[in-house]
Amino acid sequence: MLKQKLVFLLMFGAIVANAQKVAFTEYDMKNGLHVVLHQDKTAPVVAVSVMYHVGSKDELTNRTGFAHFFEHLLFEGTKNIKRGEFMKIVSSNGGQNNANTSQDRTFYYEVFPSNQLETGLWLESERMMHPVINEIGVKTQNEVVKEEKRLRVDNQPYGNFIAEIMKRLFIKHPYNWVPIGSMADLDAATLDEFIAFNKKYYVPNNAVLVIAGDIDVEKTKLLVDSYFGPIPAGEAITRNPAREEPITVQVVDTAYDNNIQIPAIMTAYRTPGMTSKESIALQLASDVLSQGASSRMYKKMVDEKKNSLQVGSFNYALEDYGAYITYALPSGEVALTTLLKDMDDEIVKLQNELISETEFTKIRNQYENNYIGTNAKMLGVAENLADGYSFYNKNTNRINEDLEEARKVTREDIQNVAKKYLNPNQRVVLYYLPKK
Amino acid sequence: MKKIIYSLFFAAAAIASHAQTTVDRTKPPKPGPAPAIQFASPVTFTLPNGMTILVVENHKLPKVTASLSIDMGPVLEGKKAGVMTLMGQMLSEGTKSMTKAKFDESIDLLGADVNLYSGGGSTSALTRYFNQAFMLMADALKQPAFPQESFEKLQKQTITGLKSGEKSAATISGRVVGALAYGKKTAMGEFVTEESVKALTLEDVKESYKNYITPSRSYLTFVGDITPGKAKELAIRAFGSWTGRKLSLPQIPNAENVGKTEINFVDVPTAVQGELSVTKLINNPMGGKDYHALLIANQILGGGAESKLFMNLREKHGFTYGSYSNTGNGRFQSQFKTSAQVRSEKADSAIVEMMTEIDNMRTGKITEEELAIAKAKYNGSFALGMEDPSRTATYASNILINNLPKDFYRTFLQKINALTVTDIQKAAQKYYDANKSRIVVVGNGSKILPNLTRLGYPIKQYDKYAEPIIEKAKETDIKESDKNTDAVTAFSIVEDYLKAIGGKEEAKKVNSLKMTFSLDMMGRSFEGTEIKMAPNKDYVEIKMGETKVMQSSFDGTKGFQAQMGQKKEMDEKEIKEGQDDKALIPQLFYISNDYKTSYIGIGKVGDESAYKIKITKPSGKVSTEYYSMKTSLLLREESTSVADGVETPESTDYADYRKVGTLMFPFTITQAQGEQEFPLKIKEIKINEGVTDADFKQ
Repeated sequence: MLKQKLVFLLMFGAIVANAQKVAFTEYDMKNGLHVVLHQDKTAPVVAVSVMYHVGSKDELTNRTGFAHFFEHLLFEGTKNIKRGEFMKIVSSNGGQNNANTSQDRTFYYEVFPSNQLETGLWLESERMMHPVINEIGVKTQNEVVKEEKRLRVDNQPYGNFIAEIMKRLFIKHPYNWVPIGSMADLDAATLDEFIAFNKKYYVPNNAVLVIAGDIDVEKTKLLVDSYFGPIPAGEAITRNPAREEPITVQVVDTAYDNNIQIPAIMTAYRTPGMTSKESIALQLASDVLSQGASSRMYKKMVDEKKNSLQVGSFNYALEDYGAYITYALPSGEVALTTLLKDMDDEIVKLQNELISETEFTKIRNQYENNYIGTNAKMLGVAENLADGYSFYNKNTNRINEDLEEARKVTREDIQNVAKKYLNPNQRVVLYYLPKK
Repeated sequence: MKKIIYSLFFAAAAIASHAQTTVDRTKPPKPGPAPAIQFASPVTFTLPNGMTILVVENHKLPKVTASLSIDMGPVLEGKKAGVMTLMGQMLSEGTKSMTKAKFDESIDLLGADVNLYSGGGSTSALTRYFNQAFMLMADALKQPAFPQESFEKLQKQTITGLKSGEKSAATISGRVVGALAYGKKTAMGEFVTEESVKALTLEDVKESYKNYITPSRSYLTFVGDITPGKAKELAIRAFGSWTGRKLSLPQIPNAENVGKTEINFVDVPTAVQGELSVTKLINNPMGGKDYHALLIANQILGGGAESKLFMNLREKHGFTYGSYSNTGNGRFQSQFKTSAQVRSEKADSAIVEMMTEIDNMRTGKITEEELAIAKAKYNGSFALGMEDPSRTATYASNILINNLPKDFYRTFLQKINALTVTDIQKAAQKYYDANKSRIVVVGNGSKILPNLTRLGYPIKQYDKYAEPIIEKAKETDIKESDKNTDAVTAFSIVEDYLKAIGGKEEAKKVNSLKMTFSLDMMGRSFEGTEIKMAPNKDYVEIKMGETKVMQSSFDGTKGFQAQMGQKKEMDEKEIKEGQDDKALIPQLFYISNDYKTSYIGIGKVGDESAYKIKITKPSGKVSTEYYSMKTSLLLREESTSVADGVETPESTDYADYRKVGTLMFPFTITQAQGEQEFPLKIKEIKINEGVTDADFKQ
């Protein structure tokens, strides 16, 4: 009897362990398109997504904003989809869609009821195969992108803060600019330049197609063949991004923002890229400082000293490098230098003392909770799978290893990255002030 | 057997790969058959104390969510309106064994979420911490500490919250529409007021806790990485011995609709936009035969951006940023309502279009394409919603609470997809009716009201608490014809005012004023000082605690304003307006050539009747002042400010006049700009004491 109970227990344990694992099938097509299929029949939903390994860091210095521009342009229509029809087809079939662009990649997706899988494949293959890139589309989207920049960046309080930091933290590397890019560059670009950019980067051999959800894997493979098979491969892409010289003397500068009343103080340290083990340690370090109301900086500056309206820190991890950023907004008439000192004291404390066991448990729990949350829906799973393949050395299975990697980080690791990367002579200090 | 399956599979594969070459890219692929939506029926059991437990087992992620929902139905609060919400908030203020700080910290450490409210509570945590998080939620529900200081804090916050919405047309509309439709004294129509919250005591909170936080008629739902056995064990551990009052669902009689469509108008002079609602009460139980048809009818009429209302009022006419409809359902009477926020000048036209679209539903002006898009939306969102496992639990408890057939959700899409244009039209004819609805308009009366009369509906006016306005205003309006006679003139009004505050001679003696005041706004308290010196020097300073948050100074020729470390010099226009006053009691100079004053009629400030005069100041700024007919004192000042081309109405109300030395001063001054209010309470006023030119140094 006891034995039976134990067997039951073992089985139960096995179920729990498996529950966290995301199973998938992956393969390369002849044209170089990498395909990842994840079956999950819990809900009659399918996410169809394409991640192109192209972002603002692939742009020329005098043609910034191209990758983000294509995020818009590739909704304009294709040989078989008339202008303005793309979104309509999605909504009249009960689906949702969108796209986003970072420094490193562009992610296009649709989420449909699972009987619309083929519609999703048709839409994405049309976009990859023969998008219409003409004067009318370029002109229209040029206006739309300008409106977006006005809305999201120029009229947004603190909307330029990442851009102001990046252009000082990176001198040679294309992280020097942000995805929205320069409107002057976009205005100056010719139609031929857009067509060339599309031909170079939006090709099957620079993309990963991830389909996640209620699918039949074998049937889906055949459908993928039908829709994506005829797309010709592009030329192989080589990347030689410039390396940065280390920062050895603190850079202090001032930036101005039209839309703010309250100034801010910011610091930024250059850190290793996202695949580095140190990248997670840096993220955990930032959680100690500013994740939740009981975190160190928040508790000290917002709750106790009440000298800050807001304070935060985060590790902005990208493919080639990262940026560890801290910032604070004053409450009342307190000098920005006081806030800088308060933040710096907390960094020094991280460097000099190990964090407590209780804090360690808390940030690990928070990390786990957040990561698990990103896998709750098919779209999240699709993006995590695509990220693994695109950035972690073609390791699609990264989705199942991320938590383990985070669990390997010790309190000493957190102290060590703070010592190694978060020193005053390695950083940019930015006074971000209201424009007079 | 296996072999047959294999060969079948190969046949299918062959067909599919054949299809590869013939895929037609020129048009969208045909969708497959709509997916059968799978429901893991929750495991259900009950406890002797009345609690029903539902468990949706889903091991996909190592997380568990639980929620307790007490099915008490609408609660009639009467004079204690607001007590339920406050009681719900009090559940998060610590337990008998844990202070609030300790409680919050314990939740944080687990990386968990715990929420509590008047209808129950919920928690979500990683599987391995779920037990602890669940017990914390249970403890808060069973053993709340109810500390007095927390009650006072929350009561104060509630009152500031209510105050901040006092001038908001949207808030007023939200309150008034329900009150007019159901009646103010019903559970569905009643609303919270400052008076009702002020009158609450901690005892009231304890009483409502005793009455409603009980296992009777409660549903405890577990979703996620947990077995039914484990869930049952936890439920019994936490709630097995919990007892409480036995609840029964209230019986609420139907409220009557109007016999003929009428307009109910609420004047909010400061409103920038008009809030329009067309509402009619309906009975639409989920198990009723029209439930599905009404879902689609609502989607076609006003469910989204491709629906009739949006296409007409926004896309075609540009009256509004969006217009939508909502068709209520459930065990109790509910509202069918269409609504929009519109530009004041277009309120009447928007009503006409709204009524036309409601009629179009009834006369069957519905295209097959509209029907198909509405169905696709429901099919899509129903399927997409299944990604959230808690949806299954919601469906299961809906079935229990509404006494629905077990296959209600399994057959849901079949029923939706079988609907025809005729079905939709029939449902619209039965439930939507442009001839028996209330049109509730909340907005700027002077701009909206004159146009509404042309619509031909009877118009009834209400105040912002849904009380009918008796037509007294009309009577006094007649007196407007007197305004050019000698009976009252701007001159006599100003003279009477100066007499009432203590006389011209005394007023002329005022050379300096020093006032201290307090200001409670958005849950925060500020302290301030204003210093004035004749003719128009002015200095204001506002502090929060020890921190100076605002400072402004004007020495008669130049000035500045500083806020949060930001200093801004006064511009030319501001300086000119600063020089408008020629004395600390500016009325002393109103009857001089520098000012233009005229009597423009009678109005009201609150309940008090007042004479209105229009003043054009030397800078060109125009304002309207209200002087009490009874006391002759200044009650209100109204003007508009223009920034970036947008006109914002401003007003200042004066009340609570008290004598300082020989003169009367208002001790409550409420300034309002747009929908924002700044209520100042004067603490002390000093006349001609301790103020020097140095106080205004730039």
